[in-house]
Amino acid sequence: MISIENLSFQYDEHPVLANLCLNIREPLNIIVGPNAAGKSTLLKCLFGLLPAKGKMAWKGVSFSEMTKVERMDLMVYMPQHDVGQTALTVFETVLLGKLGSLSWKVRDEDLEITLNALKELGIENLAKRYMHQLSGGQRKLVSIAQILVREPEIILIDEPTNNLDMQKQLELFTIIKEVIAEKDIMFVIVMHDLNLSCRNADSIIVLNQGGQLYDQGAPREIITKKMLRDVYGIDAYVTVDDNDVPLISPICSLGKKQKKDHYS
Amino acid sequence: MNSTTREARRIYRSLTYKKVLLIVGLSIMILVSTLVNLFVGNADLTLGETLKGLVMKADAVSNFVIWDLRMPVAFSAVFIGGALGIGGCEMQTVLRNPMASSYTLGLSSAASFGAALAIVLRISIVPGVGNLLVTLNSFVFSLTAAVLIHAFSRKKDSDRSTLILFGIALNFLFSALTQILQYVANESDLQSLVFWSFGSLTKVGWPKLWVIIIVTLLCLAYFGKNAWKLTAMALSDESAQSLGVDVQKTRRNTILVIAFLTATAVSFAGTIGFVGLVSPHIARILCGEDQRYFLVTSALVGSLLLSVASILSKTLVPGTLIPVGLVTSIIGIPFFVMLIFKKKKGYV
Repeated sequence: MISIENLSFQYDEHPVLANLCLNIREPLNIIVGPNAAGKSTLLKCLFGLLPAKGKMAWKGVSFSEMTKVERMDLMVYMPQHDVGQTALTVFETVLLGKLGSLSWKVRDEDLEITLNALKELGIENLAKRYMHQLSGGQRKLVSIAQILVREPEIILIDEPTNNLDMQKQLELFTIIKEVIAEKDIMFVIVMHDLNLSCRNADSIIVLNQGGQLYDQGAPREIITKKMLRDVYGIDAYVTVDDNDVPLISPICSLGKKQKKDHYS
Repeated sequence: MNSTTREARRIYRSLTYKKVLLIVGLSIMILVSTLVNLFVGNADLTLGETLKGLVMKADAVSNFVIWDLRMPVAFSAVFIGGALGIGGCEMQTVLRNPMASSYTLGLSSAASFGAALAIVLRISIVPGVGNLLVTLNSFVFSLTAAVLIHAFSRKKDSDRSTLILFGIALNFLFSALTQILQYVANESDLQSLVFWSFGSLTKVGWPKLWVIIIVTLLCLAYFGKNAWKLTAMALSDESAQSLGVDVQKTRRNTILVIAFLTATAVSFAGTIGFVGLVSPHIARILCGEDQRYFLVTSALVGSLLLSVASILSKTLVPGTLIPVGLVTSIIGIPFFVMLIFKKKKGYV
């Protein structure tokens, strides 16, 4: 379990997260919320890219007691923008996940882990292709393979379904669920697509504008007409399908003015 | 060994063996071009005389021509070319910009300004250096620019684009300062200033050559040691960070080392254009961006280019030595244009 107590962070006097308290304990957790709710910032604070005030701990061990290396071994972070258009092959890119143990001579173990990760995601046929020859969806899979070779306990991903078509989005979650079934890994994922989140998340964490926790729990309990009005400032139908998954059909924005009223 | 390990090894080998072959091939080509470089030149030596000179069995004049005139030029072509290739490769990597080279951040114009101060005003930064006045001055100014950039990049929010802009600003500043000196210089000083800025290998003698060899090899070793980190830098800042690389620190230190290398090369040989820009592009197309090979290949391509340019500078117009900097620029321009019109690997 990740426990977060009184986490605060501000960019140039402008608070992004304000005294956030949160426990994350399910295998697949999805953070949602409007723009500027501090979703990405929360991931970066967890990973240690941004210096935040407050307490964060994993299974009772505070992050501040861990060395940088221990923290890097514990979790990995996959940024929103993918690895870019480099002249590196897929195999080399995934191998980079083992950066800590790489030297001029590459160890057999590292090669093996790399190939296994490619096979797990079914992209071993791409091993010798250059990154700039791949489609956006393929590059995402390479990023995930790079994360898997690091064998972390926690994986933080920022908007992984950006620029993916519907099939690729669904496949991505199938892969994530396969990984969870095989290994004891916790995923914390930032998403914008609520319907996709509802279908896949074990737990949904809703952040409010101003970086405060609005609510947290199973999709069925969290996704309500009231939440959508309070947090997103929209009017929407919420129905539930046969699998008890909520479905959202947005109707209209309640406008900036009204939204402000809700906060006051 | 299980079958997965074997398969993984096979894939890895198939990726690397071509690159090793490439490095061997380039090395042979450099060897050949260096030999050719020893056989051409203004002094009318026949093939036989040159051969005799190489084994020190010719007359004193031929020996002098071979060992003290041609050999330093041939070797400094290899090592300065290599230095420029290395500098360009790492500058393009840490700035992730296809237009970057060792000169991008104003290092060479700072060197030119230092040289101009020495030539025109005879102002020395390091007192009592005599003949080395111009060299040392340009070296010190180039490093000063590097220190300014280093200090600037320590700022918390400096990133690639602010660094490049700061470098461009430095570039303009030093060019303007040099122009002021050109404006006030007398005719003969102006001539030597212009000649200095052309870039030529003939001003490098044995002692300077040794310095260049040592500095180049040291920098190569430094970057080689950080090869994987630098490979990660090619992805994106965030990706490299998430892999555990201290991006800002790596970028800062890399630039400082490049500056040292460039300052050495520029202060000894003047500005030699395009080698540092073009070599990494050729290397990237040939072997990709795995730094262990990319770095070495960039260095070798740089060596080969400058070596060939050095031969051309002696042979293009018989009896006349064209400054090698002009030759590289003239070869470089068509390539540069090609680069713009063709989609390049890595930077699309």
